[in-house]
Amino acid sequence: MDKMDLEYIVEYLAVNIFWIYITNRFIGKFFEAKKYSELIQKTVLLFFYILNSSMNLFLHEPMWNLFTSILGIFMLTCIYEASVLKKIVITGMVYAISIGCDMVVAVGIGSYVRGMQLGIINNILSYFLIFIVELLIEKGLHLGKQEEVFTGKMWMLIGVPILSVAVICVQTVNRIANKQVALTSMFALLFINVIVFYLYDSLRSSYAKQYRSSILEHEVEEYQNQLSIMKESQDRMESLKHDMKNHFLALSHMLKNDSIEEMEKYLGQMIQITEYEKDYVATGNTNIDSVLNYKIQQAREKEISVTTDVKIVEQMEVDFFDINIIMGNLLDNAIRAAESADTKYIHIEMELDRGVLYIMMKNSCNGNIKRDGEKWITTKRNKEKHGYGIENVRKTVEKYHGSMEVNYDEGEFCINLLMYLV
Amino acid sequence: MIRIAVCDDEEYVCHELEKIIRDYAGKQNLAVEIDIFISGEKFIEFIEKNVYYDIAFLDIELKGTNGIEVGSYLRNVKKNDNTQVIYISSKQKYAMSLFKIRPLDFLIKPITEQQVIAVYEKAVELIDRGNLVFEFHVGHTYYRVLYKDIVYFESNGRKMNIILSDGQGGYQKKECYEQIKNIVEDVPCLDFIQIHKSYLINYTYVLQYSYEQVQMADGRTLSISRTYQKQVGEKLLMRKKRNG
Repeated sequence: MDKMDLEYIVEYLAVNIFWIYITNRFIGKFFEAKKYSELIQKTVLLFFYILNSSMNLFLHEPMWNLFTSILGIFMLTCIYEASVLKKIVITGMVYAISIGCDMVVAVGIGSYVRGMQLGIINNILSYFLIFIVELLIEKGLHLGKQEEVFTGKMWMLIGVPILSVAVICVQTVNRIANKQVALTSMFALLFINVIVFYLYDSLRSSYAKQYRSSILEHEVEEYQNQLSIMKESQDRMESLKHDMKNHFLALSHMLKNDSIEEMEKYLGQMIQITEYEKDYVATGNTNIDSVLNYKIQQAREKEISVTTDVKIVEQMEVDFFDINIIMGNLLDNAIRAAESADTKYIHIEMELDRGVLYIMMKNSCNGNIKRDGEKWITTKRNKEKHGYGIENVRKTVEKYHGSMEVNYDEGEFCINLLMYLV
Repeated sequence: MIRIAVCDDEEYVCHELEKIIRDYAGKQNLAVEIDIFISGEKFIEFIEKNVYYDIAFLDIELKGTNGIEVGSYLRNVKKNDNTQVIYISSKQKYAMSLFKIRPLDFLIKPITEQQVIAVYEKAVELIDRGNLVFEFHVGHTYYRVLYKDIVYFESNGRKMNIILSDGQGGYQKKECYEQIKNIVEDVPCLDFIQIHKSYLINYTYVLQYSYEQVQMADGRTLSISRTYQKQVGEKLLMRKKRNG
């Protein structure tokens, strides 16, 4: 048994921090809810770190190492809310990746740099390789979907660990004599990686939070608006009731004088007052009513005529958040298009039928939109330009396993979509 | 001949509807027979005696037995999935129980002539498609069944099962030597949807859709295979677009 020199131990401990970081980060992408608090999570991490490091440094029994590694990874998965089977599967996968990369590095080093004692470099290369594999899996499986905002940049980020590996390999192959130089650069690379990804992850999550809160702000405005519409309607009914007696007197007076035409006109006015509601959507489903009425009012302010045909239930299995994203975005686009058209109109239809929610929206638009419109329908390149609007709608519809169709035809834009609510 | 029932406790609504439909059908040279009911109870009396209507306009807010109860009696007690139900209401608020009756449409009072004609046309199109005939033979016996009575087609090796409804909750299975892929072009494409290599179902007899399965009126739950899931979604969209 060779004497473990202090240097090696220190190096190993430092490098292991990196391994704990990437393993924890990767595992986190597979799960949703955390069962335990941050404190407990950090404690588990620390415990695992100490256990894992000591085992690997002092115990040279491969079986023990295997056991503690697998157990440690499993413990990390237990922080999350999920079935035991899922945790076992994830643990297995993470461990398999580790072993696989270890072997690749060992074989690779063995064949290219014969006879050199690389010591800690083995581990470093192995961990970088594990990191790259995990990032590729993360990107390939679209994990962390909720926060997918900078997706394009993800590819650039993978370049960071890849370039780090390149630097290490070049150094190693060129047998940099000064150990201090070699090791300093390697540790610097490790920590640069950690810093870069930590920043990236926190940026993503704060961006997602911002987006959510802006949607919530909209929701509040819509609710307020809905309340005022409801109140207005109530007030009108109240005043009608209040004046009932007077109305009856007036009508019977007209009847006595045989002024049928006047009566018709008068009754017509009274009916109009009660029909205030016809201008707005009142399905009893406050969520939908608020969103629709808010946007309808906006549209009418821009002199766009809006017609609706909404047949839905008061309680539906759709998240208000999702409804807001869909209806909000679709209507925003419709309003933007219709306000610059010759005839301004928007028609909204919603129907619940046999567990499926159908949404159809038609709006007028002018000829110029065609150029942009076609591009927008057929390619994804203009996704950035037209905002995340339609893409968000598509993603939300996909969440309900739905389908969406967009058609443009002779000055009219038409979107049809369906969502499964069961 | 289209048989229509109108059930509303406000007589003038019944008469208005009757007038609009009769005038329209007259112009189209179509024969219609219209029965008026001013209470839900009276209407139930008739359907209880198995009087069949192709279309039923039902007021939701009826005094006494309301529109939901009438619709529920029609669908759940009489097991009638074919009559097109069109609900009339003074409100836009609908309870889930209404949707379970799978109405063709909802009309909000006051109803315009255009609305009535539009929904009437929709109903007649569906009825006409349902009255088309499907022919098959078992051995030397030739059968003709109406598409509206076919619940679904099911593949069974070299044979095909045809599940038929008798309109009163009874289901029958007929077998014939035919393949779904051969008949899929001939069936009314808006009403029949292929959800699986082995299943071709009739939209009218579906109680509920989900992404992975459909619940049929005969109690069976059929699964939608992965290969067909996207198609089914597109078909449903197309159907809504065409039917309005």
